[in-house]
Amino acid sequence: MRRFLARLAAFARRGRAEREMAREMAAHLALMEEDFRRRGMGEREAHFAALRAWGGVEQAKEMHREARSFAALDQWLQDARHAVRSLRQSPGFTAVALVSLACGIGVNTAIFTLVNGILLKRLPVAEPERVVQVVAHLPQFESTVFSYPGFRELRRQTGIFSSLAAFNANAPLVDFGAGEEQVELAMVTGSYFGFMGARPALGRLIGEEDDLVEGASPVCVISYRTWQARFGGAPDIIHRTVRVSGVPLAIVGVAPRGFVDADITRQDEVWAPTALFGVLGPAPRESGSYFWLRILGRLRPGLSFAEAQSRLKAASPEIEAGLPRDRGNRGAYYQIGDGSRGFDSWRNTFREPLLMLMGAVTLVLLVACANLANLLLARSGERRQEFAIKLSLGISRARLLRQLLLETLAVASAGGVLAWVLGIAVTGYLLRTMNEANPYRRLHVAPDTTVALYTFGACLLTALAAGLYPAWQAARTDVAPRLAPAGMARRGLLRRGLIVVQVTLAVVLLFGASLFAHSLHKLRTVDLGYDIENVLSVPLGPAMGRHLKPSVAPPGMMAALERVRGLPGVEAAALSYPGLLSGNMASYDLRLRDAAGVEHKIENVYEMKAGAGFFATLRMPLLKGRDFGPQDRAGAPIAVVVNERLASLAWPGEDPVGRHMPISFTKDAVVVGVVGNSKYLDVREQARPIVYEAFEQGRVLSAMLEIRGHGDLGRLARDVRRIVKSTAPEYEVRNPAPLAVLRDTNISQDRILAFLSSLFGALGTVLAMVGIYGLIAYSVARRTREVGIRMSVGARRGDVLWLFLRESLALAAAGMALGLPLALALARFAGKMLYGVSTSEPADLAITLALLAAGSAAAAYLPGRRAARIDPVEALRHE
Amino acid sequence: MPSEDKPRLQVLQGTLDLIVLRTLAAMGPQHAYGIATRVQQVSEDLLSLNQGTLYPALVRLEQQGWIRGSWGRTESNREARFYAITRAGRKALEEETARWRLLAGMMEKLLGEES
Repeated sequence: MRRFLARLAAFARRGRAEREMAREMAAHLALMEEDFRRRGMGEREAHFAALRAWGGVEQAKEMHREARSFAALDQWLQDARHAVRSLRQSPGFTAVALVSLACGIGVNTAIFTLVNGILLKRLPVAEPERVVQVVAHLPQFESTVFSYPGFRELRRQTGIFSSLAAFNANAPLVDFGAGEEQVELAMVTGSYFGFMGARPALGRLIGEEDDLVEGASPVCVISYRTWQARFGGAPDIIHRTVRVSGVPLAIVGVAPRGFVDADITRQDEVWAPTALFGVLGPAPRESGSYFWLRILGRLRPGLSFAEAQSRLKAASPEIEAGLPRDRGNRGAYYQIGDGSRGFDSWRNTFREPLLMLMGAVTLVLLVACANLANLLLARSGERRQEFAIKLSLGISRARLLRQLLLETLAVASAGGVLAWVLGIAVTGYLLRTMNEANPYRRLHVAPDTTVALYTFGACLLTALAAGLYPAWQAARTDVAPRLAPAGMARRGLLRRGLIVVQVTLAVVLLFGASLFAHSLHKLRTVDLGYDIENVLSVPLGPAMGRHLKPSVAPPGMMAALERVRGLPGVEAAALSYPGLLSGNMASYDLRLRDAAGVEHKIENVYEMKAGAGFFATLRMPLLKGRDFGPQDRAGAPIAVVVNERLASLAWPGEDPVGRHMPISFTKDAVVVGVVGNSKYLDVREQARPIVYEAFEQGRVLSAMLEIRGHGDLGRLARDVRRIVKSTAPEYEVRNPAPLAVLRDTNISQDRILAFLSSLFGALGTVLAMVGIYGLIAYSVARRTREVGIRMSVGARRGDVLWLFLRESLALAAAGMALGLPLALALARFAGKMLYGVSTSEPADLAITLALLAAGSAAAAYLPGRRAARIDPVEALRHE
Repeated sequence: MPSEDKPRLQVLQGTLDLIVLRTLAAMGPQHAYGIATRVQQVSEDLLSLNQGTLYPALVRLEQQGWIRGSWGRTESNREARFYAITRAGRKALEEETARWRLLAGMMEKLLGEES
């Protein structure tokens, strides 16, 4: 303890102690010298004898320091300062190293933020492993959304669930007092906040009492951020009102700071009880035909997942029996899935692309790491003299190693800080791209401590991986300043090896980028079967709280259509349902008897209600018969138009016009026309059989108004909104968007993948090129004399340039030879995400190789040209 | 100067502190060079001592409060730092000496049995 205090004191006064030590040792040497002289030695002789008897002066000082204080800590500080100083002395090296690291680790931070937020993060509740998500298995598909009666029946299964919470995901127009805007809002059951273990920051949260009687409790809870950002944290927030779709709701509380929703990728600003569905939504809460609630449950303690699974399946008939007779989604059985990471709205779709991207950024990091290692090798080669001097002055090899590693670590930490900033910027860009087009399904992820640890770990690992060998090599520097051709050759070989590795990885990254860009281009130029330019899609639905029933040719809707057609700048307009690329679909199995009376079934025929002028508005080619017109109204024979695909499936080789066929709402419809094939739901889909039914002849509740106009579509959208508000107030305009934007939204994952893979490809390539540039520049500097000799014996400038270009191209060729099979092997992981491009597309391979060859030549050209300009006379004098 | 032909011993870990304390107790205040010279005389040049290695021991002992250093002048009027043993140092010397004897005796016995 006493020694500890003494050390502490010494540490605090280390400057003085250092001077004392030097003074004492000098005195010691002087005494010794004096003694030796007394014994008859000459002055010089005595001096050296004293030094010999003493041993290493610097070593002794070092030992003194170590014994004196927390030498370790002191030295670390010293070395850290030394590292920063030494980096500042070579700004070129530091800049290149920093930028490669910032890019390499930055893209890792960005992708890991997504991986963490979507795939890894768990619900911040007690025992998240007991949380499950309920799924309904229906004859045709699986569903994760339920009606309120469905939730109620599931909640009765107390032998399986100890608690059950449901919520929806919506983005209605909300007015906080500064005008309406689209805001993320969830309607939640009274059990929701209890399930999530939340305590209010202010007031109270929504409880069971708010959720019992429909419409009885017009209240809401706002998020902490909303309270701060929109209300400036006003303490009298309770009982103020917020208007949701025009309905005033009283704020009863503020959710806790940093509250995480049951779907952790959402960031709701407002929560209202599900009992308000009848007021804010399209139907009474008790409706059995609206599927809007997502359900998370907590398993009873002691019940295993498998046991719960089988019990729930067994209870399914009982649950079905309790549901209203008049309902959709019949014949379901119920299952549970993992809910420990919250409700899954992205995990399933994003797992594969995210894992692939994670692989890609790992490659980018490897290229950056190789770059750093290469720079460090070059630098330690240049500093051999410095190391030799340091070692002969008595610095221990271990300490030299440490100093060099600290230098690398300093670069890595600074690079890490830049990477963090870059990572946040890239993440922000990605989220904006994904969220702009779809306000109903926004993704929120943000870097947290896990991401910070990942970034930090990546920095540390990179520093060690890149810095260890160069530092170890440097620490082994021979004190005697003699040439070490063996060591240099080894270092040179290693540096070339690293370049080859970089090019190899760049081939993989660039090939991936080329494939995704190619695929995106195909998706953008694929013939959709209609003309999407200058078309505005306006979804119309029942206004909130208006419980409309489906009806034939609703007069309000028809009147609004007529007024829209009369707007200046509108070329054509038509109603449809569900509309093109809308995300909704209707389908049925078509049964037809042929001439022999044999029944044929054509499965999953898509249905689209299309109003008069629909095909003309969308410029869909009419192949036979006619478009829908005013004659196709209620009371007239039910008219349908089929697409080419359905015609060829149902009546191969015959004329379908005039044929009769059943559709979902009538047994007898007559085919009046045939149109070309088109994309119904998805840009990627193969030609599907589609039947178009006259819009004005069937019962409808909602519609998609497709308008072809010229000029500003945004202004057009505002005009349409105004018309609907005045002409048909029982309807509201949901989220109007140009059809081209719907198409872009439909391929947003492809756009993101193309963007990211291009970014990674570019990074990998540029880093590899920087590596080549560095190596060739070094080679030029080392071979100046040789170039001089060659030129003086008749080599021309072109020959000299070729000398270095050849060196670069040889390395690039080796990298390509290794990278090509690797790229082809890895491309298979991307196969499912590509459209119309094979994973061994020769065009993309050619582009990749050409780009890399051109890049390597360019990287070598600059230093090579410098070499070609060498004056042979000067060069021979060199060294 | 130590002669080159004698077999030389390395200072055993932990014994240097004891040697320094003993030297200071026997001879009174000494500077580092004095201590080193004395150690070599006593060991009849058997002990190889890099004089620099004395410093960690001096620092250690001073931190423990067993010796105290102060600046003074030598007979030849050179400045030097003189170390003197403290009361605590004497006590420590006694304890360490006893422990060393015990250890040495035991080693002796052990080695005697062996041969």
